[in-house]
Amino acid sequence: MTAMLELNGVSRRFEKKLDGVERLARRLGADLRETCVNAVDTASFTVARGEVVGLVGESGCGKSTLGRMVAGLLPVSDGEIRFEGIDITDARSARAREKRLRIQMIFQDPMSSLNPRMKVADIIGEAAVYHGLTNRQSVADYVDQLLEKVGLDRAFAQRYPHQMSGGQRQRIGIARALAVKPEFLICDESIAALDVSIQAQVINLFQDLRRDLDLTYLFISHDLGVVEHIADRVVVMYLGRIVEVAPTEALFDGPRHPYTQALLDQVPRLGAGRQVFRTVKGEIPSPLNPPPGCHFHPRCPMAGPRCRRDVPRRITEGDHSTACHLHDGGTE
Amino acid sequence: MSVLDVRDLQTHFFTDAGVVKAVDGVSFSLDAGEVLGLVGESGSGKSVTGFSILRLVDAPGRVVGGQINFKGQDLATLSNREMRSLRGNRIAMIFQDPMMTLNPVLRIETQMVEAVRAHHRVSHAAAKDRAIRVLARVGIPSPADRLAAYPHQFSGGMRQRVAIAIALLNGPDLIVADEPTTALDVTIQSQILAEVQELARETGTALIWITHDLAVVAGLADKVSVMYAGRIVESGPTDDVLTAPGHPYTEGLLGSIPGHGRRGERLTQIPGMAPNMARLPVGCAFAPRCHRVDETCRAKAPAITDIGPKRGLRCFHPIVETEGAA
Repeated sequence: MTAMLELNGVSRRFEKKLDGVERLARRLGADLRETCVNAVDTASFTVARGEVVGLVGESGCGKSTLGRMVAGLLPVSDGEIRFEGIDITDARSARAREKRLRIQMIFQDPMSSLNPRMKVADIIGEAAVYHGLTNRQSVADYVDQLLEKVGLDRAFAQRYPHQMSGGQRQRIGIARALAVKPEFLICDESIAALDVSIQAQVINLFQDLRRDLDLTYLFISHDLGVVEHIADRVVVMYLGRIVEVAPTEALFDGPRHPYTQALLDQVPRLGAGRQVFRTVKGEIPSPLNPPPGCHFHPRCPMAGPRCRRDVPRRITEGDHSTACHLHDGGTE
Repeated sequence: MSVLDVRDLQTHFFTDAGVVKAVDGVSFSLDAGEVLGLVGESGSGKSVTGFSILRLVDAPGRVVGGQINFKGQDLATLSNREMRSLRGNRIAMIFQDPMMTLNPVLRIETQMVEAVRAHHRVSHAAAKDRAIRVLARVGIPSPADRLAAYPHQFSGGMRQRVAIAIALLNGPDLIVADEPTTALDVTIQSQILAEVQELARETGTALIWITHDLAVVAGLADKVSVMYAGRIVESGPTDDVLTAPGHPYTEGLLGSIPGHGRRGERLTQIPGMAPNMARLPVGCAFAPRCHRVDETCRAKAPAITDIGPKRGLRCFHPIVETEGAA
């Protein structure tokens, strides 16, 4: 199976340069440095056609930044992103731009990603007309078809976003993404803001669309239950680095990285009865000043001297890869 | 004796669009050291129930009926002054956003000392001492130093711990917690749940945990009440309700939660969406979304009936266990 999407050592740094006053203060001896955050640090993984890859991690781990780079909403600092073999890291060529259109994104908060002054018909139809998938005469029918696809009545076309509920707005966001006939959807916490019963409806919709339209997903979420349900493979991130990649069942049955183990251990679950909540000690460190070596070592129960010193490599066994010294010669 | 006994609580909002019965006849009781999970989706009235207990409902909302018996006193009849001496003292509240509790321009020390001295005649030093002990209790490292910090100098998880510490300051008999871990990461959430669990056990504080997350309730609460459209539709011991739900709504909620060994299968979704609270249907509020509905349900609203020890249910056609997992 060849990869549909391929990330090779993709990094994204956010730098804050010193302004004039700060430069002056530094010259006078103040302890000021340019600050740099490695939001995503040499991330590599692939997504095969038709696959659903879940990207999980806690806030600040870089999962949304990674999704935005794949969608082309943020420039890449280092590394390359290939889509169907074409380099789309820098979308200047016509071919790369054409590929980019095949990738669409669905956001967390539909209220802030839909223009409040536009009618649903225009929100959904605008891009399709611009890219020549339909024309001004037939756009109304085109929008009706899309509304039907996402399970909404065609009467919604004449409404504004504020006249709808959260679940309905999210369906509009999905319809808009589908309007340009994408093959690859990035869902960035797309169901996190919805109520449980509405969440289930949208998850089912994603599953139906995947089957009917032959879609591939990069599904970004902090909710491990949802990812376990929908994903074929899971990528786990911690403080900008990928720590584990594995097929969903293998990951949930036998997580190898201590961080993944801790994360899975702490998810409240139904059917487990009264739980005694156990905890990983400490907080997520600031990405401005991450710990050296393995980023997880200050919170890791298994950490040894090597973890404080060396950045672990990602070791692949079969289809399960882990970036931990425990699986690469020990922590001494 | 129960710490809190709420009987037929009614909180209505008088809006231009009509009277919204946000809480419509809610009853429950709570013993010392007990944890009640109050579960529901947005707009179900679970937060308004919590606010009503502390008498924090603002206009156009008003508690229009029912009793809130807290250790033998009916809170609904107390004067504002009497109520204020209970709030933050015997009854505390933890909000979803800790910045609802914390003043951004005051040091933590000022806020905590103030909260102690508002209710007890103690010296500043004694109040500070208590603040340090409580901060240490909720897992804040070097609490004596952190007292000098401002709220913005804490991370989200730490801020919520401070808010919880303030709730604990005066050793309350009851804490109402409104979605306190919803905005937090999984590892931080489980740290806070662990603290809270221990607290309820050790200090005998009764806890109302308001949440939409049934999985959290499963791990934390002794008993659970499920709310829909302002009413409790099902209540009982947590394990019983979650393993053998009697109300179709509870069943639907449980089926909606992904990730317990049903990978890739379709989730059993509840069709439709939450009703407009200003225009509820005549009969059972859940009828338009229910798969067991018939004419009776559309004609009149079911009353709550006891279906077993400590289990109540508001449904004409409850799911009976002998049906299996229908």
